[in-house]
Amino acid sequence: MKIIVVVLGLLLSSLLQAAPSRVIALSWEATEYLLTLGVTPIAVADRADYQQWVVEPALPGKVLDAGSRLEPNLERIYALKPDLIIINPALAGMQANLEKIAPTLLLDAFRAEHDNASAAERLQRQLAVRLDRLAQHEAFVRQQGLELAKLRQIIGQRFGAKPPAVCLIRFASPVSFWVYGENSLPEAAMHALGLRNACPQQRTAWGTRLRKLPDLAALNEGLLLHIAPFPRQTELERSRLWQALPVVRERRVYAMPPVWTNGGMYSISRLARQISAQLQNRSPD
Amino acid sequence: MKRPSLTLLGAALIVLAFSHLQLATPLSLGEQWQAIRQPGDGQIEEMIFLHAHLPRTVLAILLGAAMALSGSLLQQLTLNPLASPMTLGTSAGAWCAIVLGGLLWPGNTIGIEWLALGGSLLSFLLLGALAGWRQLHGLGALLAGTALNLLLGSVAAIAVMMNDQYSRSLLVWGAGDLAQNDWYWVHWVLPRLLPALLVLPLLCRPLQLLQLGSEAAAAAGLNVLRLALVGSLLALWLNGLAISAVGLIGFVSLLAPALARLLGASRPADNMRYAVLIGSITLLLADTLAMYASQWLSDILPSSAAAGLLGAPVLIWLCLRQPLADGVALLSSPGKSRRLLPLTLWLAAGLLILLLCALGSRDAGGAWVLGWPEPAIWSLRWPRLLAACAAGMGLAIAGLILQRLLNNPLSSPDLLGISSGASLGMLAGLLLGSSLSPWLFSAAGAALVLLALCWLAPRQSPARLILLGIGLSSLLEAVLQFVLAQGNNDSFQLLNWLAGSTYHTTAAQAASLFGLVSLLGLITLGTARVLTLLSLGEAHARATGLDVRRARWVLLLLAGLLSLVISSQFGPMAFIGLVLPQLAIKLGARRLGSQLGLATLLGAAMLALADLASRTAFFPNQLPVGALGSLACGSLLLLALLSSPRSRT
Repeated sequence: MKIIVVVLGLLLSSLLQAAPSRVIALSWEATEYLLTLGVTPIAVADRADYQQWVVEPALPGKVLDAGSRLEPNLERIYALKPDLIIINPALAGMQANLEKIAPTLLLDAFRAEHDNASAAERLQRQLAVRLDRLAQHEAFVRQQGLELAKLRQIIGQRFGAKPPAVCLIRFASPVSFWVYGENSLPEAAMHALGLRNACPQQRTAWGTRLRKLPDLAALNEGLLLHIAPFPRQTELERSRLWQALPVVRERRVYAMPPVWTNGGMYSISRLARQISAQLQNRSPD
Repeated sequence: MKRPSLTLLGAALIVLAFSHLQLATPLSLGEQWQAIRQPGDGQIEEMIFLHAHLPRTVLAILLGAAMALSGSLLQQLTLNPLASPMTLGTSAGAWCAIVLGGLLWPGNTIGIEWLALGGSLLSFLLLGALAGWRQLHGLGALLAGTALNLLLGSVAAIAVMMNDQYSRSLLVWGAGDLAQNDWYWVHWVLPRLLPALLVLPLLCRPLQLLQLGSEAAAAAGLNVLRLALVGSLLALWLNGLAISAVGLIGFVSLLAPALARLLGASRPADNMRYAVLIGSITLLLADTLAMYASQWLSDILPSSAAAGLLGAPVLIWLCLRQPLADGVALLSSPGKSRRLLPLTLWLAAGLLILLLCALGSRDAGGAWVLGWPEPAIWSLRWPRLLAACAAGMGLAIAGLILQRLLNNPLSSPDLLGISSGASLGMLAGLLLGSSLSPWLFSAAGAALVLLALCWLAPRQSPARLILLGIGLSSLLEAVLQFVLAQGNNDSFQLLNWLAGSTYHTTAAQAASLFGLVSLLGLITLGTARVLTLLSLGEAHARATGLDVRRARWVLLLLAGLLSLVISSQFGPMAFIGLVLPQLAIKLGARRLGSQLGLATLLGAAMLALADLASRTAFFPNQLPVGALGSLACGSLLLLALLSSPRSRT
């Protein structure tokens, strides 16, 4: 009799403490945290765009679309009976409504007041605790540390004490581009590799800024990496001004494959991998 | 007033172009001259001067001239001193066509300028159908143009939002910036611009004749139709070139010919010559300002926003001093409307639609469902449904008040400037980065405009007030372009709000909105006698002992309050307030009481349907209810126009 009570009690408590398993992510950074922790969400917001713009970590085919990131579909979310919903500040106004459906976790990853890279680690850890995946999280952090150290070592072997500085941009039009400066994940990846940002920018919430093409004239040293695809590439390349830029004439421009810059730790690893891959194309001066 | 000579303006243009060039480059004058005479030693500063600054200055001059000519032609063809591609909605048409062409049909090989021409031509035809071709000289054309602007703007916004990652760079481009990276666009514009200019001298004499009025001109042997066709095609082509090359830049096309006329250049040839110079000067000035400001601001200020900030105050001033015919095309001539079906029947139909909208949905897998929802789903659904219904009712009532008050079937609450005030307030909140609720800012903005309107109302004629609203909405567009041009997450949140989303409405908000609208609706019913008297004409109303000025003031306040509560929640919603009161008349509700009742019912039903479509049409994505409602009402109006060929097209 006593044993049955104890077993029942144990069962009950384990049921009560069971980690959420039906999770819906309404932001892309949250989607990335989940997939990194090995949790497959039942639905994510803007699923098709995620597959086109974020690409990795890859989304399993059975994950459903929860609507747009600005206005996810509440009725579908309800019908999927989630036990955890993750949002970012864009949906902060809807938190009260979402709480009616399931416990809702607000992860505020991008702010000017904090360091986005360490916030990504903190938030992913917070989520891991909530989902009972702390072991996976710590394994990932350990493995990332090893990988970054290795990449850094390879760069050190190749370039010695003075590796080239890197400037990372995404073109908005043939005359303007977003540049990644202080507090951006690309800059965090550069620092992890022991590289310097060749076009430093003032700190902002996302670390990005819209700038004009002639601003690239000041880039006298280092590499220019631009994130592909840019649909109006030909318009850019036929431009005399572009051809005259020192960085273009000296062939220091490289196109990076599509990569997401507003994710979390996984994105930092991926950015670091791609940046160091681009550096391999460059012979030491 | 003795007007300054063309030489003087030309000299001003040269000085301005010169200083425009000096602003951005560190090169000394000698080095600049050297760079132009013997380019090629490849210094980067020299290349920037030659391939970024110089083409920018040249393009500003060329496009300023093209836009000014376009406005001048339209003003002379329509005999409307405030006509321009911007105020008539044809710029919005061109932009909409370019956006849709790029998003829905990627990889199309049609030149962007043809898309622009096609889009603006379509919207011009729409404008003619809306306002009446013979009425383009009046206020009606401007009202229809503003409504078209709002409508096409929301169509473009829907398209952009459904492709948000892709369209970020589209927003940056469409914001209208003159920055260049080589001579490509100058070489592109020149061969398309110059042949068009050769036609102009041939048009001067016919245009001169047209100023007598189209009947007199026809009697004098002018082929008015051919002139109108050639002239408007040319005007739209010129403006389309500018849009294709640098995106949307308003104001220049309106201000240049209007200022030219103020300087005394009213004969067609004179007006065009002066407008060309003034247009180039205005655009250069705006671009100088934009470049100067971009050095100090942390973000880029696009040229179009600078043009708007310069132009909007001038436009408002022009609006307030411009005499303008109050000519208006009646959408439904009396006698044609059918007999009103019994009210109970309407009520039953309305309830049925509401029920359908409340019960229809899609389940988790996306299959259509019609059934009583679970309580939890219902608690998610009813606030937005109720809010949509309340907005539809309120807009219909406000539209009815304004149409009766101004005796003008084209007036509607979104043209009063109150919704623009709300949007401007919202933008101010966003730019200040305030932690206060954005609704507070939008309500404050709307209230400010309403106060200004109430202050102006006894002093100005109602038509002027509407013009003021148009001025304000163009100011809004300028500020908006600055925010959208950054292409970041704020831009999209803003676009969403501007398209009239009811997504964020809470239960309490929806209930209080519904309560307020019902209350104001009941008060309107109480003023039925006054409204009926006013719509019989001012003299008639005065004869019965009515204090017309006070009555107007009260009614304006009523319509303004309705517009305030709705637009501070959902942003501007075009066409709904314009179409529904007219539709009620068309359905036979001629007496004020029944028109009010039917229009309110139609408003609720229409927006409830929009809410249903918003939730289900592109499941699981949702579209903003306001944009869908405007789209539905706009197409209804178009259908009505097409199905009843009017005697005087």
